[in-house]
Amino acid sequence: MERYSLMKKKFWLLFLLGTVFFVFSSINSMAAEDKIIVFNSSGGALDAAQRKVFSDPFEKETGIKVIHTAPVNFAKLKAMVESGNVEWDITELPPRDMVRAVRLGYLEPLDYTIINKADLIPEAALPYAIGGGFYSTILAYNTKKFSKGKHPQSWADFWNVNKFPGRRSLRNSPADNLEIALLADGVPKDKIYPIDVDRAFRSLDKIKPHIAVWWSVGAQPAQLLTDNEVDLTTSWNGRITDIQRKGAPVEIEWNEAILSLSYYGVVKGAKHKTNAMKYLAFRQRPDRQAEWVKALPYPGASISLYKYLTPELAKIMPTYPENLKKAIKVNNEWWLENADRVQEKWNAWMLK
Amino acid sequence: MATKDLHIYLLLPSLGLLIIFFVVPMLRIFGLSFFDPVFTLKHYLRIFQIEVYLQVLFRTLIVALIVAGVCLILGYPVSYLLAAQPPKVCNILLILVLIPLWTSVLVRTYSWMVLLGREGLLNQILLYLNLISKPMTLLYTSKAVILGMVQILLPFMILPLFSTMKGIDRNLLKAAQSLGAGPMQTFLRVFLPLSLPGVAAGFILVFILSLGFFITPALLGGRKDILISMLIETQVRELLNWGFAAALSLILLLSTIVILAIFNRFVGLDRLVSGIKFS
Repeated sequence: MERYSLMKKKFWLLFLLGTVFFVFSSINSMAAEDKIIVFNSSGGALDAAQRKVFSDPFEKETGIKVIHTAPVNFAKLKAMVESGNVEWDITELPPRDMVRAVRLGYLEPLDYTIINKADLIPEAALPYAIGGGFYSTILAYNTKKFSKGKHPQSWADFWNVNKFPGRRSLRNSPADNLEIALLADGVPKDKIYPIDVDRAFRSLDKIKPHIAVWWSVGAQPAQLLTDNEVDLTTSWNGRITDIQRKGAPVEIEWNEAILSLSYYGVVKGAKHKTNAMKYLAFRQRPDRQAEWVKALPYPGASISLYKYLTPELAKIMPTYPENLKKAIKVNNEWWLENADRVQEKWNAWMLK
Repeated sequence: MATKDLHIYLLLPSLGLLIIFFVVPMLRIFGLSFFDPVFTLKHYLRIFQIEVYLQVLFRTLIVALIVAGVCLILGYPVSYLLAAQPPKVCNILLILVLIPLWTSVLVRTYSWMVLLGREGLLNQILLYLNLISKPMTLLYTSKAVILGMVQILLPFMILPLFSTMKGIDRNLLKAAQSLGAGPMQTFLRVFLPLSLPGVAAGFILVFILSLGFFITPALLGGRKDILISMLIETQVRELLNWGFAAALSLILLLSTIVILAIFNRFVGLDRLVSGIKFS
């Protein structure tokens, strides 16, 4: 009998210990996040650079491991938040997706006690998203065909096929092209939005017969220029810098560049929120940004970045003060409201 | 009797997979296209009211038919040759047919860009030989799209054709000849009819695969080469209008079924395809 009660006591002791351990371990996991974050971005060739410039030094400094995933996919973000099965902590967001994600409540508010707002370009430091990279749609041209100074210097010049004969390419998308068409038609920079869609298409009608190639993938314009498929085209600025460094005879015209900004956000319900804020803060440090733009001219939001750059490097950045002055900033709200309708019109126009 | 019944159970795993990964998602897409969130026909009305969508759908079907037709014309003689070779040679040739399948579609599409460009290989050779005076526009045309798609899909035509032709009893051809039929007559009245199950299988396979093509037309085509899968992709990924994308997908599925039914009526596809197992 005594022996039995001893066993019973032992059992209860074990049970108690087990419970304490269980409760303690779950409190523990609630209080401190695991030392990892899952970072989702476009990946590809840039992933190695991201790792070298941001993730590896961050890991060394904080001990927080950064797991990279790709690609950026809004549909997946939507599915994650709606199902409550959130895999990513941070995701890159193209500009329109950012506006949409904020409206749908897919993002956590950013913690500006961790992120230093004072050094950030104001429109890149939003309550729910932070500027990841500024990029511009610019006019790129072959310098063998047009010598510098006698090259097309505005979208009106791009439209002027008599003064600047040559094979041309535009992107197969209404994005940026509507703004470009209005500028070519003489609409002043500050009167672009709200876009007069009909006027934009009337202006596009004029250039349509002269477009040899409609590009659809970001790598195409650079390829088209190096292969001499076209002499002038729109392109994202980084792609042109890339082939310039490899010796291609191409140049960027920064006048009337269409400036966009991609963002990073912390996904609603992310498992490693605090770590994510620390990582976002780390990425904006000017010394890190200066390293980053050496690999790719898509600078983040840091204002003091330019103290760290040589003049040659500074000049090829979309946010370089000279370039910024000449640029037009894309109105993401307008695009979010009108994208569907405009895309439909664009498809019909392409088939005509 | 009992073993025959048991055979049915062998189907269960694949049937289960089909139900979970095909039938259920299909039903969900069906639901998505009609509920947003209450019952609505607006997605379907949009497809029929705005010209673009039916125009693109029609284009897609035409391109798929052309690609399947060209694959058949190119694939038939190859399969004929393959089937007539001794096994050793045949194996080597078959491997040659299959090798392109091991390379990604994207790589093969880019290769076509290298070949067909204004300063591409083909134009340079023709210019060098003085056959042309200035580069021809080959890339960014519908022809380039069809060329690229045919090259990618050709093995899917050759394989079913080959397996059918391999099964044709060559003695039948000898019998026809011994009864006085010339080579042409033997081919037209004996070999061709016996190879039709392979023709039907290959044609349907290539036709259906063509309908879903996306990256090849986007990279090789001109501005008018929009296929329906490109529109669906924009709706899903860029505009997030899943209901409309679902409606477009279902219309594509429906028109595919209708076309196959018409084929069936005139050519008797079900008879031909089911003939494969006997050959």
